[in-house]
Parts: sequence; C-alpha cells; structure tokens
Amino acid sequence: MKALESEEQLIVYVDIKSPYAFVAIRPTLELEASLGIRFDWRPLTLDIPSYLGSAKKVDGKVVESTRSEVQWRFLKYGYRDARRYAERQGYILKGTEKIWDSSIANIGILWVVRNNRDLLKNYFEVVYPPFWRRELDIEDFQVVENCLELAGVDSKGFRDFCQHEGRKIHDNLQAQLHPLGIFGVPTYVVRGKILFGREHLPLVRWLLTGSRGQAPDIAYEISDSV
Amino acid sequence: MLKIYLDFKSPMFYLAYKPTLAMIERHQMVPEWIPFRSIQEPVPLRLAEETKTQTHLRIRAEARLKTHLMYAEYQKLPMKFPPVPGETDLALAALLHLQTDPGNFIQAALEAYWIKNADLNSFEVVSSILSDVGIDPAQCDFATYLTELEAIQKDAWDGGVVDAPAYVIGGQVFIGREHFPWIESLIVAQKRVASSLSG
Repeated sequence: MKALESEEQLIVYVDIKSPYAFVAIRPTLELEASLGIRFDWRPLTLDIPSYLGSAKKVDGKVVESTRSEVQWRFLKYGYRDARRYAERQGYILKGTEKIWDSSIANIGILWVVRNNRDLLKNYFEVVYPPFWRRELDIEDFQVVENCLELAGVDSKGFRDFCQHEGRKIHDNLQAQLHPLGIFGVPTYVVRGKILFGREHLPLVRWLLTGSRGQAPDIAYEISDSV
Repeated sequence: MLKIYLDFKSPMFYLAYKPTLAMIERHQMVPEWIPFRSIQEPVPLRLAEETKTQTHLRIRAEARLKTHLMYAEYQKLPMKFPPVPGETDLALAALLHLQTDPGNFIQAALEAYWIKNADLNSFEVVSSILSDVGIDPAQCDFATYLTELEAIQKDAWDGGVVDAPAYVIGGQVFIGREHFPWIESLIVAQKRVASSLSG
C-alpha cells in the first residue's frame, strides 16, 4: 500500500484515538455519500508523545506530564473545540485519561475495508462514540472483535490478521507517512494535495466535483444534524 | 457583541481578515478589535539527524505554511512569509489608539507585514503606517498602550484565547475563520433575541 496512491479519488487518514478525527467522521462520510463515490479510508496511528508531550490522568487529574504550559493551553482549547462539535453531532466526547495504543482498532479499519467495505460506517459507529464515552478498551483484541461483530463484520481471522499481515500493512504504511508530509488526522489526500483537518472538506468537495468557480475557503460546515 | 482578537503576524489572521470583514458586513456588525500577541515560530530547518519529535514538528510547520500559501493563492492575496516571524507589539499597541475605526490601519499593517515583511515593532514603520492612514503618530501614547497590551494579553490568555484570530461571542472562544458557520449562527440567534426583546 503506497501512502499517496489509491484507486479511489480520495484517501482519508484517521485514528480512533483522535478527537479531531472523531468529529470529522460524520461530515466525511456524508460527503462520500453525497458524491456517490468511495473514499479510501486508512489508519494513521498517531505517536502523540512525539509532538505533544505525554500525560497521564487518574480520576480526571493529571498525575504525570511532560507538556509545557503553552502545549496544555492549546490542547485544552483543541479538546473543548472538538467536544462542542461532537455535541452538535449528538455525541459525548470525554477527555481521554491516557494515550492509547489504537493500532488494533485502526487495523480493524483495514480489516473492514478488505472484507466488508460497505460496513465501514457501521464499524466507525460502534467504535468511535463508545471509545470517546470511555466505554471501550481498544487495546483489547476481544473488544475490537466484538466491535467488528456488532458492526456486522465477521471477526474470524481478525486476530491473526492483526498480528501478521494487517500489522505489516499498517506498520509499512505508518513508516511512509512522515517522509511524505503526512503527520496528523484527519488528513485528506486528493488531486496531489495533502490537506490536514476537516476544515478543508469544502475544498475537497470542490476538487472532487471539477474545481468549478472560485475555490471555497476553509470551514467547519454545520447542518441541522451536525 | 463580537470580539475579534488579532495579530498582524498571524498568517491565519491575514487570511481571515477579508472574510471577517465580509461576515461583519453581512450582519451589519461593529465588532471590537482587540490586539493579541500570538506565538509564531519559524519553520524549523531540516537537520541531518532529527529525532521523531523534530521531524514531526518540522513537517507540521512546513505543511501549515504550504496550506496558508495555497489559500492565499485561491484568495488572490499576495503573501510572503518573513524568514523569521517579526514581533508586532508596537503595531498592536497602536491599535489601542484606534478604537472607533481601525480598518484602514489593520489593512495597511497587514500589507506592510505580509507583502513587504516590514518590522511592525519599529517606531518608524508603525508611525509611517499611522500617517499613511491619516493618524498623527505623535498623538499615540505607545508607552501606555504597551502596558495596556500586557494586561489585555493576560486577560485574553486567561479567558481561553490562545491564538489569532480569535472570535469571542456568546461566551465562546473560536480560534480561526473555519468556525464562521457556527459564529454566524450565533450572530443570527443573538439578533433574533434582540429583535424579539425590542418588540
């Protein structure tokens, strides 16, 4: 799998443990449906401590942290912002209490895309919202297998895939991303452009529909449902 | 009531300025323009040997710059990043002198920084800009305004403003023009309430 190449017109990189990817899922799925085309959804498993420092919370209180005051301020704003957009979508977004290893759940994306592409929306729906309500241990194989089954996807063979072929695809993909300038989620790769953040969805739409007229500006579009 | 926190050296604010004017024109608003010292870092140079953190921060900064330039091109807005972000305290202080109608000064200061990479912390440069927009710089008490800027900065920071532009409306802080759809929905809601109260 080559990080910038796809048979589809758009590649979307997401990570289950990212609140920003969480609030991007629905508008991106809606764009996909509205255009009547398929996007190529892929995992990008963030190494958060490498750029945001690390922190651990117990009972809502930070007990360990390598983050600076400025980093905390930006992070708090970012979470507050993601939370209000999640609430607009009817979701709850609780602050995370640790930095999760989301690779198993992310490899789940590869599994669903390979075996039941039409059920990817279901998979996102059974993983993202409960994870962000702090109801899901995405580091537990059994939990992710249960999610697959709940989404209507056969989980038989997933553990083996996750430990071997899927892990290899995932790890090879992650190794390509930084050198190509892909570092965060959601990232959209379209018409040779790499766009980080769901604020670029209006531009993504414009690029996928013929680039007619003036290019739109960035926007977090809202509707009655979002 | 809409408060807009701005910094001339913020590329996000430069790209947001015209769309912001269009938004306030659409809703016939008179916002409060408030100076805010944002944190802008130069794009890190690529090192022969980088840690994962250094690589991440460098490619993030490179991508951000490239994205700003892309939207500037779409907006047909000239934009030249200075090699190192300059300080803008004096120009921000001057803004406090122009409470009623700072539009011409903001436009001129933005062009000075983003087209000519002028030093907006230079007394000569800022005075020249003030003169060009019809304001006598001798009337501008920079020392007092710089002190006031520190207090404004602390209040803004404590109030959750971490970058520019920041739009504060209905008790909420929105950083960036990508929030215009939500901001405008709040403006419309506020006007509806005001209209119903006035009968």
